[in-house]
Amino acid sequence: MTDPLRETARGFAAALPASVEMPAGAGKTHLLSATVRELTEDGGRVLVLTHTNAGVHAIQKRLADFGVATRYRVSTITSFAFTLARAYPDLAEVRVPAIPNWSDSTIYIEAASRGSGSRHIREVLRSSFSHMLVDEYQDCSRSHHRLVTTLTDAIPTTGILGDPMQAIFGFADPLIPWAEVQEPFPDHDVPRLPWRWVGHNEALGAWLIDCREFLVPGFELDLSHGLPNGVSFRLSAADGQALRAACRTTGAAGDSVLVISGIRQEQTRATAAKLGGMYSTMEEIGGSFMQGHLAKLAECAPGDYADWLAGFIKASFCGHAGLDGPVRSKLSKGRTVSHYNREGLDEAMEALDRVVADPTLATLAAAMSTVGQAPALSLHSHEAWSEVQTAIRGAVAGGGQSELLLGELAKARDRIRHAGRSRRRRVVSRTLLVKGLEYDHVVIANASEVADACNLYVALSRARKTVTILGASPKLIVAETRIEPKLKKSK
Amino acid sequence: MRIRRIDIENFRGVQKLSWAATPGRTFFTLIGPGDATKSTVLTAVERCLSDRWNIAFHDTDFYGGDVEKPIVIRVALGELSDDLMALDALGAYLCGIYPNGDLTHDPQEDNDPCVVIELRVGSDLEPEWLAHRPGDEESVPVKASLRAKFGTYRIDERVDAHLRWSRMSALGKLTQVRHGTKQTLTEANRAARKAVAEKVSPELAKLASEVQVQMEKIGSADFIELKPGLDLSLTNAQGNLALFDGPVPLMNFGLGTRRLAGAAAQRLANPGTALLLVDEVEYGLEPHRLVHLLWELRKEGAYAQVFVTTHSPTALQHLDAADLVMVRSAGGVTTMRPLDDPANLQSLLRGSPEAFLSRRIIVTEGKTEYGLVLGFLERWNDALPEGTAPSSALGVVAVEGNGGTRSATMASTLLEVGYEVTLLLDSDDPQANEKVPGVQAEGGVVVQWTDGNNTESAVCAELDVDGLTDFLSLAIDSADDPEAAEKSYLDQLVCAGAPKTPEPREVSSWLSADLDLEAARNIIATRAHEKSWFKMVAKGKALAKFILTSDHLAAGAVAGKLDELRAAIYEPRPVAEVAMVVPEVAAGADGD
Repeated sequence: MTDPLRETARGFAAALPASVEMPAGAGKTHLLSATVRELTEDGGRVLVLTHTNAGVHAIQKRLADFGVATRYRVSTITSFAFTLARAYPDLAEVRVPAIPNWSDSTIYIEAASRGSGSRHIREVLRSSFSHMLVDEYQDCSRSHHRLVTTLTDAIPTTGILGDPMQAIFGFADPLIPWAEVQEPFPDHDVPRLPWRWVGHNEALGAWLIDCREFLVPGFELDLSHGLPNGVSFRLSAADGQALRAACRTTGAAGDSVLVISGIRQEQTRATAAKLGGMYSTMEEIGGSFMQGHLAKLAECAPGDYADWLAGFIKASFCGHAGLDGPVRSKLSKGRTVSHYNREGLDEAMEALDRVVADPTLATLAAAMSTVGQAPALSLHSHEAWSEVQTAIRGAVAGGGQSELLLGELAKARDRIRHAGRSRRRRVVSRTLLVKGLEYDHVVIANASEVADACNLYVALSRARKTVTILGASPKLIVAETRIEPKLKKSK
Repeated sequence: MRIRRIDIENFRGVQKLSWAATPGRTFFTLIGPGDATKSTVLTAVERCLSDRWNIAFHDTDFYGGDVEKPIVIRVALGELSDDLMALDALGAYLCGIYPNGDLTHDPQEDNDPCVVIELRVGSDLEPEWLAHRPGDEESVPVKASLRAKFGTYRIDERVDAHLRWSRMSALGKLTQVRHGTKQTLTEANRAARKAVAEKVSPELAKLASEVQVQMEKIGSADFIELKPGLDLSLTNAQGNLALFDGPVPLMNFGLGTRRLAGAAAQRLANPGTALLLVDEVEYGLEPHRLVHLLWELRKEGAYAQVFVTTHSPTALQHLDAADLVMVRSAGGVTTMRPLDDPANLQSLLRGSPEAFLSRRIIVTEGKTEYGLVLGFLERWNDALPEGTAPSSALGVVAVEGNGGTRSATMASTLLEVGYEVTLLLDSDDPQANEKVPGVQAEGGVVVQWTDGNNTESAVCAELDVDGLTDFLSLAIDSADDPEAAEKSYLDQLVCAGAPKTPEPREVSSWLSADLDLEAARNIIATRAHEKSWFKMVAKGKALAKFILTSDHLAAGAVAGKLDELRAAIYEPRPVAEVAMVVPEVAAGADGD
């Protein structure tokens, strides 16, 4: 009996160097893992590179499921680059610290490119690996691509997997156009089957494969008709009524729903706030929102802790109108506030008072646990609230100095880099943050925000069952997706 | 994998040693006098590259017993196999090495990659194995499982372990290599325990016969039939399956045979990749088996690299000068110096191999003087005051020269490669005399008879008529056939102008026949010299006894020269300047 996956994997392995273009949900990780299985069973040693730690873990898990236990190494491109740069500072022409600073990843990548140009390092790589597979190649910048092509001098049988339709630019470095990828790594055709939609909405899956043909810049997409079952368009006005309605009604209990809204994080959070706590804001891995608040806290005198907490409540909860001028004014003077009569906020006011009475980080962290009991308040930034609380507790455990706060946050975010996000059922996010994630339902809050080919494709292809698109008009001209930084800041 | 450089600090008798191997060389014979720390070097390398999880160190393993100064042993390994070069092995810790042994943190375009394994032991006596790189403050641990890939084995008196089937032994590893699993071994052990030798699995039986072929090839012994059997001398569960020849366990064979069997097993278990360390390679072997073993060890492709120590002139006679590394220890500093230069060492090695095993060499004018010096040494050693080291303890060896100029050249060559040399020379050859200042300039001590004398004439010049009579009697009495010698020597003297007298052995009778003393001395000395009266070791020794006991020679020119010679043999000389000795050859050059 022939196993079609094995056949496909064997075909890809035999075609190396080559690239495959795999649509979302078509079993890319499956193909990659099956290829590693074929190669290792033939005695190969395989280097697998991808972009995110979550991706590393997903691949490792799939390989374990396939029974592949040895002869491979899975790493992010950046951490592999760090390893090389750290090992060979003279060849890399840079001294990197023992503990990586991931914001310097471009430095590591360029250093590794220089290092692996050495004949000795080529020999090390040749001794270590017979094959290399690089996943999510659409996210590769030009410097990533330079490193990968340098590595192929030592490991010529390299396979590239990616989906140029999901190339959403998020780094400072320009992305590598897919056409340039296909020069050293000729296109290898594999069957594209919409596995993700099997048993959910196969018509949606098929339509998303078709989409790839017509979602090209300049195409006028008419959402008023011709959509598959499960995909619908709703006209919406600026008041957000239609969005709230759609978000309320979408998805049965237990289903996961993703609302795509905003281009910047503040816009996303504002949408979550408007949804009154039904949905939670997804934070980007760097966690700038939490960082901003913790940086402020770190500079606060203990007497200002209570007022800081009031500010953070307002940023993270709906229904905080009662935390008004007079309350903040008392808090900023170090006075208690629970004597104010603010309906539904008693628990929050008491929590604030406890911080006033004992302005320590320990009390602050404890107070955060009871704020949410106030009936008027609904949390819309769960992730931020819990991560900030974790960071404060970490600082308390580390000795209570407020200088520890940002380091503790970095540790918490590093855990997410490795373990992946904890899944929330209903989230508001942006396309850049949800690449690779799956939801039962997707609500696109404003079609004009994802009008370019790749953002639109990523938004649509996150859904297994239904997509609800809101917009001022059912007609949408597909724009070109940027893969380079904008020269000038536009709105 | 090959050793490119060795550094040792504070280990046993070695306070400091740095040595770079000649690139491309695979066979090294460490030679030197007994206290030169050769074995310590082998032990250091063995421990540094050992795959044991832990090694017991003691306070006495520290130089001077000072545990505050850590033991640091570093071995640079080049030509690494793929499984050592890989990133998950040592691929992230490569250094660069130049042919002269200089290291760089990263390998460079103009040097070779290597990895420096460091064994470090502090006062807690806990050994740590690390991948060292120059300039790095922190080093990365190197696990035992990785060190096992170094394939380093020492063949010594504990070789028996390798003749059993156990996890770490050569036979155990060989079984794993051939049959891919420890299962075979476990099953065979179980079978062995149940039914002793009869139930041994066919795989092991086959393997044993393969080992037999290899062992016979290396000259171990002529076995009847090698097969696995149960060694009842051990009580542990593992490794009691051992190699038997018929009913006799190999452990009962002589040490030489067992050592050879161990070397053969390593070669089978690690074809072309084993790093073999053999202390006292001649141990337990007859000369013919030793010569055969050396031939096998030096064979291209048999082992990755072989280090042996030896005290055997037979071994040296069958080696190339370029195979030799002279080890010297002075004041804790050990130096290792290749003897691959100059080219004329080779003939010296064939002719006087024992010289290379010494520290201080007395090169003699010829065979007569060789016997003479041996005779002096016997008597002087016997007469040494209590607590004074005899010449052998000082590493003094006399070698036979081959005539004035050639003896002088030999002395220069030996001086050049670092030996302490004393030259005992006649002064009757102007060409040889011309070479004396050169030898002295190179640090050699030259003891030369005065006034254009050779040994015989120098002695005769100080004898009176009775002395001459005694001298003549000595020559005749120490001849192989004194009766025949008496006639032929006396005839020789008459031919040279001695008068015919009724008592020709009495020199006084010559003087009565109108010959003067000077003429008599001249006739006897000339004939003794030209007709080689003392040119044999035993005769030279007899002459030595005569010289040392003759009253005529107790004071005078000869006695003065003997004092010089004696001082040159027994008195310490200033320690030579010590520097890291490195070969001056291009990378990859073959020493052959």
